[in-house]
Amino acid sequence: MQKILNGNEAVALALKQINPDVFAAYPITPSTHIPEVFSSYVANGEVDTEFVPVESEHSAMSACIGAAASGVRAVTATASQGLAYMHEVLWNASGMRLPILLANANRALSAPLSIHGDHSDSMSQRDTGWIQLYADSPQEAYDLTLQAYLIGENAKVRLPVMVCFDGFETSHLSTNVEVLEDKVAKDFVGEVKTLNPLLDLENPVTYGSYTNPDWFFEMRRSQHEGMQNAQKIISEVGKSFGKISGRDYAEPIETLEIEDAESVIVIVGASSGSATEAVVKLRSKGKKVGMLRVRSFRPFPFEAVANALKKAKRVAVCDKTMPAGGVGGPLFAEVSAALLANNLNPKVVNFIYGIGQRQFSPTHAEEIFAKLEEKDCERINFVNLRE
Amino acid sequence: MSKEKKLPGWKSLPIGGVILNPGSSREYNTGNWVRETCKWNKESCINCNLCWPVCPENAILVDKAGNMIGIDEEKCTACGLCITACPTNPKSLKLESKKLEEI
Ligand code: SF4
Ligand code: SF4
Repeated sequence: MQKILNGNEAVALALKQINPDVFAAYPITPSTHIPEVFSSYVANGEVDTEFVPVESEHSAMSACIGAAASGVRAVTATASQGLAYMHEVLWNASGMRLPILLANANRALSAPLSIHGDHSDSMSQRDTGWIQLYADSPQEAYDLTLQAYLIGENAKVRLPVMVCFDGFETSHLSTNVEVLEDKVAKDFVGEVKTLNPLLDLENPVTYGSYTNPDWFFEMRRSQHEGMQNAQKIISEVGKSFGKISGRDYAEPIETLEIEDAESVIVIVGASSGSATEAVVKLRSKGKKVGMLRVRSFRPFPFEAVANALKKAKRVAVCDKTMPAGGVGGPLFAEVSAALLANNLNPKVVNFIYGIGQRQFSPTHAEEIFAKLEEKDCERINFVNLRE
Repeated sequence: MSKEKKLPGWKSLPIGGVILNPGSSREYNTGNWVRETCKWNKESCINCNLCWPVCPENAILVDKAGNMIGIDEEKCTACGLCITACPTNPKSLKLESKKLEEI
């Protein structure tokens, strides 16, 4: 069944079909639509969710932690400063291994104040121990939301999941979305899978206790294992989602014309649309170009990325966040490391684009392919920036 | 480091550091990092048990019959609360430095 939905409405609809137990949120542009639409579902009695209109994002994540520890499904939606304000509590969620769902409509961080999209909010949370999946469209935002609990609640994973999608470019883009029948979606998502819930009064447990140096490291190691295991579980859940929807998510990456491509753009999120158009146009002129879109950023699919790039001569890694003094943006660092770890040595160049939602059109993607072929091009380049 | 116990590895720990057995903090050796400990003087003690409820670490040892029998130095953090509570004069509890090899 097709519906015209923007990214936020698509996520809200997926959440309605999931019918989570607790939704705690504080509104922030560009994700406000999600709690707004969802609270109308609550008011109309279409879900049995306890909607908690908290006083801040810090409280939203804290409420989700309490709910998830008690053994129910908890969700929140946020962006930008809201996600930044959750930062310390994000670590608690992943450290206590609580499979919370967070929908993030990517937006730039202040200052200067911007309400517009880029990836600096969620990329700054990449080390918090959350699984991070990046959608390219309202369709994927819907699909990944439906898959998130099955990934996070898996006994081998037990981690919170962030579904990220570009602010405005996806959150406010109205487009055709293929929606599952309620019953099909509900049967797929199933009942919550708990582990040591606080509300099991017969078996009292303690969450979030203090540890000394003789235990803490072991806990972190176990968390790392959950993240490693998630690679396989993301693939399994993505495959079974394909069976009910016809849209297969078994691969953590998506590729276009990559088999014989000499120049490849590696990108995350909605701007892959512009890159796709550039690839199609340049291919029609006989240029050997391709694209690789990374969907799962945490865990990072090192093998799949390296394998897809093994024949590439030139790789343009596109980051929608600033390098902040790093060797390049976060995607650049991951892709470069994945190549190195697999003894691959193509030319790798970083392109920073779309900061504060600076336009990134197919023409800009074409410019990237052209620049990539220049002999002495810099390691870090800025796309569509005034000098 | 004199009495190091073999602790379980990460694979056998509960997911998320959840504590599955209630009251297990009693098993934790809270005092083995502290340089001082509390010493009990059996001679002056009147066995009133006033020290027992104030100890935050369950370090005051009392037998089934309710008799004060000593201090668990592995648990005692040398906070001194029991000394304040002790009614005898001189006090039947006092802080002392541990010997280097006990730390
Ligand atoms: S000094 Fe403090 S920790 Fe030690 S026995 Fe007395 S009350 Fe307990
Ligand atoms: S408070 Fe003092 S006198 Fe009373 S039991 Fe404890 S050590 Fe003995």
